[in-house]
Amino acid sequence: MHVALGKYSVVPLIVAIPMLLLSCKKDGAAPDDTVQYTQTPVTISSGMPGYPAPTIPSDNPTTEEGVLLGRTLFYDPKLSADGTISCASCHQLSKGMADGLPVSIGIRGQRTNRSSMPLINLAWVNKFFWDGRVNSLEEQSLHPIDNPQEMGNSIGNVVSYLQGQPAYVTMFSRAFNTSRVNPNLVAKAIAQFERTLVSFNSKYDRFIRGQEALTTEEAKGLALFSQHPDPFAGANGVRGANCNDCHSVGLFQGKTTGFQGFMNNGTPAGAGLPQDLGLQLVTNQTADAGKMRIPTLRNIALTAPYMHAGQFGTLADVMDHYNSPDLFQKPNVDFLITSAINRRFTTELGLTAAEKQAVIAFLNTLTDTSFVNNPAFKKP
Amino acid sequence: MSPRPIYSQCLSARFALTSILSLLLSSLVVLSGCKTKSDDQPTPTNTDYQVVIRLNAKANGAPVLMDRTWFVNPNQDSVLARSFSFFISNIKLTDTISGATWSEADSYHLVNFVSDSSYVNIKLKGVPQSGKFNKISYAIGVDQAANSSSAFLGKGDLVQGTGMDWNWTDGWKFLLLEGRFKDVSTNTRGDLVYHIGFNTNYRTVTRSLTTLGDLVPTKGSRQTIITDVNLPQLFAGNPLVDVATNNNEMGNNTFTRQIADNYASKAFIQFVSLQQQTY
Repeated sequence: MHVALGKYSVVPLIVAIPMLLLSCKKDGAAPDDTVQYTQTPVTISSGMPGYPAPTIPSDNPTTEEGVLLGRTLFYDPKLSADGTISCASCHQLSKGMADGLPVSIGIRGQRTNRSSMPLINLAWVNKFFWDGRVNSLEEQSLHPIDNPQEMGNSIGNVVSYLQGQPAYVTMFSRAFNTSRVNPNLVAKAIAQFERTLVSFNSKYDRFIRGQEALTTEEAKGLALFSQHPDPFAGANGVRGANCNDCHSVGLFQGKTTGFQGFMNNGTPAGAGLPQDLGLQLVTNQTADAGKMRIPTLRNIALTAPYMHAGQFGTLADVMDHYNSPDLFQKPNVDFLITSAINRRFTTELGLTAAEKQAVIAFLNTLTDTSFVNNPAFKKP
Repeated sequence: MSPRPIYSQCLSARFALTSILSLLLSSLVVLSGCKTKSDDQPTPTNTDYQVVIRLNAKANGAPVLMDRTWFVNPNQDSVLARSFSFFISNIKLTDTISGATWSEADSYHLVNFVSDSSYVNIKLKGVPQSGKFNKISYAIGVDQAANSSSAFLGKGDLVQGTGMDWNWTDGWKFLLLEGRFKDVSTNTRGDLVYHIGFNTNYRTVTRSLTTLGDLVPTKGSRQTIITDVNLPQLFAGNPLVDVATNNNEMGNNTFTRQIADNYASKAFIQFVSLQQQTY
């Protein structure tokens, strides 16, 4: 604001005052940076007691105007080099904000080397992309635009395009009080929309709120999900599927401190792809080879195929992977996996078919149909 | 976001001596009707005060970073902690003069150590300013009431998604230590997973602060109780913990009770000093 005042100080007063007198324009008038709009704050919340608070950057508070702009940008294929791919091409609401493909497809049909990540509860995430290479949603949101395999454009081109669209310029004015589009504001707007993609109304959530009961099988699945097995406890041991050690109950994702939410789960390379080094590409630490972000399991039934390159087509395939007798022998598999056995002196998780089925029944309770039908998330 | 008519102040200062004051005043009337975006911050005050406990992760006198610092335990085995968290709860302070006890409300603090800092600060909420305290008591773990009911969710750090949830029957993990070990005597290497919980492993501890001086919450200051959390102490006892034997422990048994006794010992959390910063 003080920068703007400096401009007035060099304008002859006789000119400045009439300009200022005109500054309070009504909605719908041509954008004018002397107009100062008031933005309406939007609260991002889980609405659930006992869940961590979301992280909203202080320099990008969520507002209705910013969210509308971000949502419009999110659905605009003109952000890509050839006008064919928008953010929504790979993040489709009906597919839990993923795309249903093993790896995402960019402009001119190019296959990328990773699967589109579901965009859910991102205000509770501290590192973005499978390999955690960026620390904020603002930074993340521009990466696909200039990735040659994805939208193949340059952010400079995007800014020029948006600056030439009066409707966009008006939206930037309303959201950020400036008619001058810049990359930072594009990023902020998209991030604001993405933070509104909140999903906390699954059957599991209604169970936690005491509004709905789980079936016997679902409850058994939750107990198995939560439990790290201990075959030496008592006479019969404690059985567990060990999911909770990584997909911590509640947000059902990894920890959000540093890179604690990244693990190597022994997933093989994707079809036709080399083994993906994951976090090692970011940290250059060989101990991080193959570690990937532990994504949320919310809406997991909607986001097949699974893992960073869609290696598994169904949840049953995923359970078989974690239950495989070969898994413990794979290089760099996390010790939270290899320390979990259900029978003494074995080297496998060792779930029964019924137990695997119960875990899948529980995972299905994480589907939030109000999320995928939310009109506020659809194309504006 | 709240509107604030800052134009009027700046313009009136700049042009107060001009001969067109009346014109200026008329413009200010219009300007004050415009909505502006505020960029100023609340003015700091000195009416606030804080009481903080700093917990330094230490091993044999040296700082410990998660996934970075190997340390030697009493059995002379080497340990690398990747994750180390515990609940410190039900914190109470005893008044030096009256002997009255202040109890923090919803007192459930999760201490979660990380790889880029060797300490964690926990801030006590609502310590009365009238007091002067020379005794502290706390618990490691989550009391039976909160450990057995989801009604306590959301109180303090009893939040989901921190990796300390266990399940609805067994309650919270009180202490989590995950990492790697090298056993010197058998020359074995392996992984270490300790998830300690269950009501029988809840421990309360009372400690005198008299050697540090009285804790006196004062307006405009931050009082910090400096403590060292000694990781090797978790492996103490008779017999000492041998990680080659006990490296995957999460039940309610003799071994986990030994770990609980260790985290209740004076040597686990050592009270080092009391610092006062004014601001």
